[in-house]
Amino acid sequence: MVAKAGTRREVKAKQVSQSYLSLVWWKFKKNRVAVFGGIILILMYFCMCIIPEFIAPYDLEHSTNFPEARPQTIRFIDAQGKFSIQPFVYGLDKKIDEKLRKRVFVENTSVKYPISLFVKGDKYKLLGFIPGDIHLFGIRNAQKDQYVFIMGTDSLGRDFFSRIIFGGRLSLLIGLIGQVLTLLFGSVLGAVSGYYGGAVDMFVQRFTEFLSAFPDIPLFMALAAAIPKYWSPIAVYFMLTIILAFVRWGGLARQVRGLILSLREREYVLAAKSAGASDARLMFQHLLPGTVSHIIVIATLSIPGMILAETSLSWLGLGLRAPLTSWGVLLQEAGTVYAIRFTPWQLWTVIFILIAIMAYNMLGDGLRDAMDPYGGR
Amino acid sequence: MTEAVAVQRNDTSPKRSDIILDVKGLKKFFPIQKGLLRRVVGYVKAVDDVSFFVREGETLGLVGESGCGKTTAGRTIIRLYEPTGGDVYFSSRVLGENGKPKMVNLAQMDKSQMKLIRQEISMVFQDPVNSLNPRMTVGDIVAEPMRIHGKYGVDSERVIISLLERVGLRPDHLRRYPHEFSGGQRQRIGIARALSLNPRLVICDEPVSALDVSIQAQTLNLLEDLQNDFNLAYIFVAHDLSVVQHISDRVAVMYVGKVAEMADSDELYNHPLHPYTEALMSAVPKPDPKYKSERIIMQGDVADPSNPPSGCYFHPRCRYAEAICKEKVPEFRELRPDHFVACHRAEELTLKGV
Amino acid sequence: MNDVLIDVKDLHVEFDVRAGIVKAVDGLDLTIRRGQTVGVIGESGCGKSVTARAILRMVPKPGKVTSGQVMYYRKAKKGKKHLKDEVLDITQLPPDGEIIRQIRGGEIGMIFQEPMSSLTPVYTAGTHINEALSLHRLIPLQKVGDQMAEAITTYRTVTKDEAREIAIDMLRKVGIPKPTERVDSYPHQLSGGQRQRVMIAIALSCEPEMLIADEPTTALDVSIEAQILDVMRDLQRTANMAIMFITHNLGVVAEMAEEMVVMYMGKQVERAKTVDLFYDPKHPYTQALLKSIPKVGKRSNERLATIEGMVPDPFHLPTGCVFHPRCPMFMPGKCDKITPTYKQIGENHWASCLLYEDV
Repeated sequence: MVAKAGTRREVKAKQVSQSYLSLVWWKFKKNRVAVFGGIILILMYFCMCIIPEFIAPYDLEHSTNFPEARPQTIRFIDAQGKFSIQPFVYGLDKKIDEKLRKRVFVENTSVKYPISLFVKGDKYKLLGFIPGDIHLFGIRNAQKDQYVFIMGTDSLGRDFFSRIIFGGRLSLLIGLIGQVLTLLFGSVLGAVSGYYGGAVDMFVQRFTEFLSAFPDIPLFMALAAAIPKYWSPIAVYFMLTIILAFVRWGGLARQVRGLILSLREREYVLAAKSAGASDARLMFQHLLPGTVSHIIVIATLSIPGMILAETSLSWLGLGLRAPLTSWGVLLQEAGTVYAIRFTPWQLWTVIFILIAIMAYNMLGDGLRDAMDPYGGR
Repeated sequence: MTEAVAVQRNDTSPKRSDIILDVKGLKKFFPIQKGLLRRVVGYVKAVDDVSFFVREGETLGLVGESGCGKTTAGRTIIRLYEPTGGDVYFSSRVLGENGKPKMVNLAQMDKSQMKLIRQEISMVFQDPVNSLNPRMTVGDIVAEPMRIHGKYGVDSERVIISLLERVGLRPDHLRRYPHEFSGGQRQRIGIARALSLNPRLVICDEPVSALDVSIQAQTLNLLEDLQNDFNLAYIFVAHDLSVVQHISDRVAVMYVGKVAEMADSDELYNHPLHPYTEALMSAVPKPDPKYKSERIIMQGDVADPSNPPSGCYFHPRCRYAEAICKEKVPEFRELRPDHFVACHRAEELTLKGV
Repeated sequence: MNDVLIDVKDLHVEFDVRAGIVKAVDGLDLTIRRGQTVGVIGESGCGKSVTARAILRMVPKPGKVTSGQVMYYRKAKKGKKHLKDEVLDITQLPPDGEIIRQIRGGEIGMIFQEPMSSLTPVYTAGTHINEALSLHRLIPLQKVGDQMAEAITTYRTVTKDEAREIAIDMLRKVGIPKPTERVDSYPHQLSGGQRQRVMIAIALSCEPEMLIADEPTTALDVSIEAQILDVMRDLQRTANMAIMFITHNLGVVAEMAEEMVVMYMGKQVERAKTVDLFYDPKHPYTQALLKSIPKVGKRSNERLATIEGMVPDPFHLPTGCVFHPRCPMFMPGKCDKITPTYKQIGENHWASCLLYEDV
């Protein structure tokens, strides 16, 4: 008889069937840094892409009479040393600084504006269709000229914190959407190139080499300059993502090709082939799933590049333009000697960009380790 | 549809009528490419004019040193590699009329016909880690051939469960993933997959060489049991001579892409006719400390398949080589009944077996 | 017993891995005398390779020698670089110190298996071990001959030219064709089998007191394997070298070893003269192992005997005798309760089984 695999007195170890994904998840969870990065990213995307109107205390274009106001400090103890559990800010008074020959705003310690959560403010539509007017924080029953600017204002008196939140929406999305497009181009072309080989492979390879040999910035400039000036900001936005994706798919395509080439020789692929599996089945059942983990990791690690590319393009004035607001646009506004001298709080944008990029890198590193749960190969 | 490929076999073929696979002059050359333009500068003659046959329900062992082309031969038969030349006749039931087998030439077949044949020929692979897709459950892995051929139906899961039980796994293993199993169990999964379409020929490519001794014995026994139950024919590719002798009815010895000798297993091991077989047998370590063997040391290395020597490929290492061996490629001929050899001096030499 | 070379006493090696602690070697005693060949056999994960590494003070992380000793009886020898007789406990030496580096390669040579991609037993130390070995690999961009000469001059008092001569001679012995030309080739110009043979040549050319050969020929073809075994035997005879031969191939040990040790799950289950072990095995595991191999030349239509079940999960070892769940001679109430002791049961014959104890 066939030897029984489970024998009579076999020590039965507790076994829970774990799929590949659950193993990956299990290993990922153990990596605290990566989980932290992931949480930061989820928070950022949720706050900035889905509910920015709620998070931001004011509307993107809400101009006030306080241009270039410095950030108000959030306080619990007032000038008299009285403690209040509810944080507050002082009101702002306009003053002319003789030396700088410039209008500045100083805190008026006699006026306290307590900060409350969930206050009524500017009306908005979440995701374009859910109407609301509640904001995460602000001043309850704010009268005219009662504001809280935790990160100051810009030259038009718009709350800078709100602008960063709204700017994050475009910047973060451009990274994500751009990367999705890159994945599409890169993995399809890479997979086709690796699977079929021959002339197709030759062509795709030479083309990616050509693209990667081309210097980035001039290419961006040429392509971005080709966007007609009269296009609507949204069209420009999409064009820019497509340009970014177009320039960057080459590297991914090469990696996917390499993976497919090595997977193609795996015995399980040969087994499916010997059973008569069609090309489509081999591709979608056996080859691509094997590359997905790598693709996700590569993608995660290259989204920061996308975000930076958008930022630098916009900073150069080649990317998004006002009235669209992205981090790049905000940085461009801050990118003058004047701004750095007199409104340094506009550099808060940099902090947000850094956080986003570091979070992506932490997540990506964690994913890379976790995607290989069997330990080596 | 099969007119073109159904071929009348000529008279030089082995006489028996129960032949299931008849390989004739099979060749597989891999091009060596160089330079930017991938110019072909030569060929690796992995399989170079190989002929052998397999009878219904028997095991043919295919042995040889690494790089001798035994694995390539197995894969070329099932058209994982496109043959460069030669014919592979297979007695197919699927393509035959009213259940009668019909000889068809796999080497000439188009893709759709070949797909039908793949129900009758399956493969078992060497590496228990790499031969199962880590992202599929055992059930899906075993069911895959059925799905490919559109034969997965309502009661297929029951069939798969009985198949798993047949190879010594439990029904609850169905939803598990390959990494939860030991090497021996994975090899059983691979065997179950190979059997899921009731094939008549299974090509086993080093199925036990990555397994521990005790697991190897279990797996060999399982393969033998399955052969008896389902009347399977095996091509058993391996480098371990003792394993091959144990499982095979007949054995073909390959050297640098050619078959040197083919005979009944006992006959081959005890009365080899080819000097290479003799040397190979003498080199096998015998698990018996009292056995003192006279070892024949082969000079030099295995010939380079991209640049083989003239005449008989074995002559530079052969201690019986003569002038003719350098000049003429020996003919692969039936010297004794059912004992084929490719050596000029096979008639005159008396060689020692194990 | 003044010819003892290595004396392993109650060695314990543990691996502290994610899922728990694996006792890779669990109370091993092993004596190797000068000029003796000891074969160590067992299935993957039985701890045979880890033992070899412990002798060389090369247990890979996260493994650790938790207790026990490896006594090395060092002797001064002409042509070698150290000059006094001494007894060292290898487990106590600093792992990267001067002494252990002299011993490693020079006095105790080693040959390891070419890493094969197929070997990934989840629970063994295999993957970690490979990392620790980088120092015993061929260096890619250096000529084979130079690497050999370097190894030889490190451990032997010979000149560069002499070393080269020794290298060529040794390459010839391990069956590398045209050794005078090959000595100047780079590793990538050799085939996998040839590289392995070069590694073996390097180990042997240092004329070590003892050679640890861990599956040295597993990846090689039989014809080459035969040559290498011959070279090793020759050298053993002429240089009085001891060999610890680790393998799972019973044919190879039968040819090579005078004495054999059978290991199972980190424990030594039986030790005897090779002839006794093959013809009169005492431990049921050894008996089963011997019956389960097909023997070349004696074809029978019988089925192979098998050992039921699988190697147990090292995190959940069976109680009592670790082999009892697979043992055909299982005695209920005894084997699953009492741990057998390793004791002498005949002349030169030790076993660890309750069949030979009064319980």
